[in-house]
Amino acid sequence: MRPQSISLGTLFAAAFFTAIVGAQTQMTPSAADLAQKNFLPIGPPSPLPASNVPDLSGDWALGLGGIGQSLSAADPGGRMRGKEPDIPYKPWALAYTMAQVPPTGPDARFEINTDPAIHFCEPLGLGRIYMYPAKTKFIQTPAAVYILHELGPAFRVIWLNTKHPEDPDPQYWGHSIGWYENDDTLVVDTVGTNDKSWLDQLGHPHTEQFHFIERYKRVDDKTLQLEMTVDDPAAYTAPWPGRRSFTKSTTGFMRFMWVCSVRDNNEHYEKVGAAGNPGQTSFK
Amino acid sequence: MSWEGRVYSKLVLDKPSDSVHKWAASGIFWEEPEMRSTLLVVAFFSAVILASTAVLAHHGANLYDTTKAAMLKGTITKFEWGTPHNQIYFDAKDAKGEVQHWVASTEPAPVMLERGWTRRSLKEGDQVTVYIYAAKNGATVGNLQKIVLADGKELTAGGPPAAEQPSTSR
Repeated sequence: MRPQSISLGTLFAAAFFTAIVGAQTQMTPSAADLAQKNFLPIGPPSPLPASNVPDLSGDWALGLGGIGQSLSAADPGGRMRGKEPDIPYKPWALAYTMAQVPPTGPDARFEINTDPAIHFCEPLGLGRIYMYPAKTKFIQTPAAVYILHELGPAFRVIWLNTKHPEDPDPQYWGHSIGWYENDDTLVVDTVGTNDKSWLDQLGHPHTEQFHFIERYKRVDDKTLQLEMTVDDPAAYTAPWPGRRSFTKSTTGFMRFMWVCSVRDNNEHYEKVGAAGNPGQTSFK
Repeated sequence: MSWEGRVYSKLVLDKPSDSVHKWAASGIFWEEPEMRSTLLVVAFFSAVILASTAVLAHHGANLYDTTKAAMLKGTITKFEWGTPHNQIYFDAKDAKGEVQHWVASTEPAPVMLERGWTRRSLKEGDQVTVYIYAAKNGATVGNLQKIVLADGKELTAGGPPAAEQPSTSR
């Protein structure tokens, strides 16, 4: 009986090891995933649409209807994590999302959150920069649009009427190009990201195959609407949408720069959060 | 003209409503005295209307009792203004008459500015009535909903529930 017992034990151990390895591999895209081509055309239409330059000046704040926890257009409040009707997860992306502990929102457990932006103050990155009620400003020039974020702080350069480089170096904010449409819209097309940032507070991942399209539409003097499209064939089986709405702020851009500090995050937790979560934290 | 020059031209030629124009024209980045009363009114309604309570979003689901705001009468001992959140320290007596040291958290300074607060909204010694979502475990910490000053002025911090909550945990 003993040899059989050992054999069974070995089998169990092997199965356990396989399960662990299997679970781990489910958290990242496969080589086949990363070889997928994007669903949507990258870069500007040819020929470029004729358009006047819309006026994007102003201090744009995310107000009512313009904030939330999730990039999902169907679930901005983040109440349907993993079950959003408009997010077509690949299995690994769903497993990754559900393995994260969000810092905010309905499923938040701040004391044990797994958010790299909280723990390391890494750049929030595309999409997620608009999950916070901070202000954004656009500086329009003939060659580029500079998007300034008081949160971070961070800035992006949107090169106008040009193409992406052939093989952009993967980095947090990627490489962005843009053009104008319909006299009222700035279209921003981004590729060349790394895979380190979350798309939102819930931990939705993206890969280096990430292609992100933003359409900033000046609706009226006080409103700027943003339609976003996530085109990441390595993580999702189809493109999916996000939306935000900005309103003009009068308090002043950068009146208080929203700097991320690991020290400030830790101190705030020690001062307030820790008392309600004794003995349980992922901090320090 | 270099492109830098064009950037500058664009900035200073912005509409009067643009704060950068104000800054460029007057040296004052954001404050215009005639706007303050308007801002206070706007701030009040904004506080009601705008989604809020990032702190609630942080810890609320499993830490604070969000079913009711406790009312505490106390004295401000310190007001920390910044990011990722403001901290308001105050002393209040419990049912036995013993002084308890409390810490209430609000959204960060840039968000509270939008709601009409400033770093001088509270100062040590202010007598206040605090409405707070207190920690479920009895710790004297919580998420500020509203403060009423001795002169009756209200400073609102909370907002409607989770669906539109912002994410301010940085």
